[in-house]
Amino acid sequence: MSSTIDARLSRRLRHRSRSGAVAVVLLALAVALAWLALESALQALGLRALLVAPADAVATLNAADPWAIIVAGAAGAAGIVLIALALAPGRRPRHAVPDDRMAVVIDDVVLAGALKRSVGSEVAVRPDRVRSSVGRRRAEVTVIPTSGVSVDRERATAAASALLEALSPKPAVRPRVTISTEGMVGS
Amino acid sequence: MTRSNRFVNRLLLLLVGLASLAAGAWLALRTEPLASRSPIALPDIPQFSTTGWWIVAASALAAAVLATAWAVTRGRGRVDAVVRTPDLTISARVAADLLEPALLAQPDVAAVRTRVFRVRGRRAIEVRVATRPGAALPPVIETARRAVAVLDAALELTTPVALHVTPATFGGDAGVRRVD
Repeated sequence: MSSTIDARLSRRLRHRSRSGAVAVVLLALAVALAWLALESALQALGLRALLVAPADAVATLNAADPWAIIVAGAAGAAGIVLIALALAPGRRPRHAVPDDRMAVVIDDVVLAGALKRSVGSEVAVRPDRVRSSVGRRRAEVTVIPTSGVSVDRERATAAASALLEALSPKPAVRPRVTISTEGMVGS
Repeated sequence: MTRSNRFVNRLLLLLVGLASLAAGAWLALRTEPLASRSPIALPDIPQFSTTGWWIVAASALAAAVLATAWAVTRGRGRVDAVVRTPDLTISARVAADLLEPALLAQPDVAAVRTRVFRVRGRRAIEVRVATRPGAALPPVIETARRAVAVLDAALELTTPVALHVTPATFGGDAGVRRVD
């Protein structure tokens, strides 16, 4: 990652933008405020309220009756959800790959697929007999060998490590290869 | 990838969240039995006069308009040109035509989508490469690198590029390819 713009592009691809959440929150807020504006205007004009007259709503909330408690609970819960959304890291399951010219970001699913292929071809096991998953710092690869044929775990690990070294994803991913004890008949 | 400022997005969520939590807490603290144990008596929500309600109506309307205006401007930033100056425009199509054929020639690549975004005042190319299951990644990245070098040479400038490698989970072109 050569420049700050590349670092920024990479970061933007690896984290959620929250644009959707912000738009939803703002539109909900806009609807509530528009309703409040309308009811307040009706109240000021002395006309009948659309749903609830603001003066009555204020009286209900001041009276601390069950409605006030329900509103308090809902507001509190919404507040906690929004604060969590604002402060959570919002990482997407993706890794950055260092490059001099551009920002490279790979979905973890794709990385898992590449590991599956690498390990499978190294130990001569069909790709659908290799399971793999990539987390933030660890990749799990499970090889299900053909019954009666042993699989060299060292070689499988070396293949996974070689691929991860060639790509050197950030944050670094360490492979863990498991050879399943239950083989499968035929191949 | 969009233009909207992500820090501002977070800040807005945080402020609305804190306001909502505070309002909820304020209402809850005024109910029994919490209110009788509270060291401070929280005031009632005031009842307004006619003028007061007009002020509430006007400020709520203004805030609603502002919130809507902000909401509809989230997530934009896509543009149709890599370069746009008074005397030169290079269409995003040019970048796509220079980058996509080389990538699509790779057997592991199912689809490529090239888009240009404005990020912090600069134009950046996002190349999304959808790969088939079990794609070998180093050749795909190497091909992209070479394609970008061709692009740089053709445009005679270095435009920021983001390469995003995704799984091809859509369309009929994403079939499993046996690796022998």
